[in-house]
Amino acid sequence: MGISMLVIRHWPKRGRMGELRAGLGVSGSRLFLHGDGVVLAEPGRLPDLVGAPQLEVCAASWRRRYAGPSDPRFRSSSLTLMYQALDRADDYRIWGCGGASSWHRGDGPAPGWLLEVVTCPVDARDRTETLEFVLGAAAFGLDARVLIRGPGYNHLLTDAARGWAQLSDFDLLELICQAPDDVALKVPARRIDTAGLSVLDRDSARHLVL
Amino acid sequence: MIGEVSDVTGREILAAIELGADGYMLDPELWTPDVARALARRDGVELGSLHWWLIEFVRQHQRRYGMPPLMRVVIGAMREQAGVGDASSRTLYRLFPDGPIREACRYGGLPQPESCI
Repeated sequence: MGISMLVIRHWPKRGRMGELRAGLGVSGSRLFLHGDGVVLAEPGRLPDLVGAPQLEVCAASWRRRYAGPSDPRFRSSSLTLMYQALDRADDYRIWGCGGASSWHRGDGPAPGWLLEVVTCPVDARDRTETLEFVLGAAAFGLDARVLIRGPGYNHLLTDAARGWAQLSDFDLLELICQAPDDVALKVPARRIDTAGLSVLDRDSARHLVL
Repeated sequence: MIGEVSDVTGREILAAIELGADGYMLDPELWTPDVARALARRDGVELGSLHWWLIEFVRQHQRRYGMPPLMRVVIGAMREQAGVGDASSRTLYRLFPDGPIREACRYGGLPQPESCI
């Protein structure tokens, strides 16, 4: 049985529950909550579901926000376990702070990954968790590149940028950034322009917009 | 860095610091190598040179990057810097079976790691 994966890092206040329920009704579906997406693991928040999806919540994201236990239907999990499942998944959909992205396995080998950071959240927890999501890919050894574009480059400007420096200092994942020319990044990254961006889009088919 | 503290000295050292519920120091500024020795002695752990290398590496990483290192980073550094050519996660778990990075943080006076990577 293949895995159909749903990852939620950001839960909009309304309008997505029907889509979520439909996604979780698919055989072999798994839901992983991370970042402020863990709000869905609050007891009583998620309605009864059709089928038997595997429900998981990132233990660290939950601990940062709640003192009590999560909905008992959820199993406490980690980013490493999430990537293990995601890498084997036949399809996935991720709802991140920067929008939604999805992929469905076709014929031939699965392509590499492109992790896209397109926002820099105001909340310090959300910023840290964006970096942790990227580091999770490195910890798992995912064949991935990291693209920072749009306002995402603000991650590489503040003191918190030092955490991102691990990627290049230890050769963990290639860090690519599209930022205005006059912006001095605090972290070594390969600068890319609009033309380079379109080439990158064509080359990497498994996108995760964080 | 390798040294010993007696039971009495160890108790005095531990009495002077405050530990949280999970055993991590509440004020990392009070950390000294003797604190690590005292904590280890209390836990029945004998800190050898490789333990100390790991504790120092994790402390330096935390200072520089604001968080503890990934396991794969430690393994790479252990091969290159500590001369353990065949270092692996098993090597690290032999040092601290309850979790090498977490235990290095605890003995090294660092905050409890938050992330679940």
